[in-house]
Amino acid sequence: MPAWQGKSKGKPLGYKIFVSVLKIGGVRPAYFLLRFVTLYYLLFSFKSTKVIFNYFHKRHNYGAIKAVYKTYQNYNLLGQSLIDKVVIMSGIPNKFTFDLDGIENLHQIASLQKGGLLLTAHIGNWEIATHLLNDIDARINIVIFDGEDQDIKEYIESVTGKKPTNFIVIKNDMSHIFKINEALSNNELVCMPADRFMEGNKTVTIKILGAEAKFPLGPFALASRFKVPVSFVFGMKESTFHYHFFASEIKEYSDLERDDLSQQIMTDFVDSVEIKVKKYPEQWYNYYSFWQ
Amino acid sequence: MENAEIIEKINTFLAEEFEIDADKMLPDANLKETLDLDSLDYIDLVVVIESNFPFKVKPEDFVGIETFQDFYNYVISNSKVKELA
Repeated sequence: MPAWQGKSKGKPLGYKIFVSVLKIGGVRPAYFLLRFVTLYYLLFSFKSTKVIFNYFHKRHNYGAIKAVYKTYQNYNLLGQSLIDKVVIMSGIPNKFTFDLDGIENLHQIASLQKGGLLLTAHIGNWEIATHLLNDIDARINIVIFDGEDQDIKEYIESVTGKKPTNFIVIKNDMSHIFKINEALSNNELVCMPADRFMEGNKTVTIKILGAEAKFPLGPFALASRFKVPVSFVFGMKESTFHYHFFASEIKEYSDLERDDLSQQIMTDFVDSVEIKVKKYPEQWYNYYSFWQ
Repeated sequence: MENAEIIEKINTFLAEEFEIDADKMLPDANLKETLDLDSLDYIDLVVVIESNFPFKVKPEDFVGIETFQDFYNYVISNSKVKELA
């Protein structure tokens, strides 16, 4: 069954080199260096290149040459999103601008004082937005899988400083479920990606981009069981130094039974993801066989 | 509420929620294995505890809960703390 294996790419030395370039020269030299790294991944990271090539070729119906070019662009944009994250989180001078579309919806969720679930996907760069939402009257927690190399994590944290956002790490002992519950009970917002699952997780099959794919049931079950308001949130890069963040209107399904509720939220979420991916196809960052 | 009443209430909602026979819920039986709990079931467990008892489940509470008896003790002690408060 296609499932994420729980490990991201990259080595600590690579991150150190990029951070040094950022500190000395700024974003543009880092982006220039990135082009060579991108080419390396395109040529030598066969498994992920094949997956992303097929994503462009089969899901977006691009010809082979266009699909190869788009694969290069995809790797490059992923690298840029990682660089951008470090720049913004560590306060390195930059020219980034942002549109916060639907910010009023997040204010509204916070004002309801019931907690809130912000569902996102591995497209674009939502995490940056959480560092910009300082005037939202609720703490934002981000649910992550702790698959990152510990050395990379520690190095990035040493560069960016103490993270203002609270992270809830998914663990085998299920402690993350209780932490999510506690956060929601404290009227906090919990942001979590709802497009990846590990082997053994319960999933539901839904069509996206014309073919069936499995989505984890967990995030949607959280929303329906804990009866919290939900918004779908995405952060998409629209040009070299401009991000556009989207927060949907609050989803409410008070007239649905529990299991129907999970299914409906999932359907609406997948529709939202599909709309974004059709508009920003290069910013799909699931490097495994996502479709059946 | 007396301890026996609390245990009976727990067994009732566990049997209902996880569709399990009462005779499988033995005090020294492993909670996770007997109920075949996965991550989604823990969500249901939290919701059911908080719906039936007057306390909030904290993340650190489930560390060390292995058997049904551990679970009974946990709910009983938290319920009584709330009653005394």
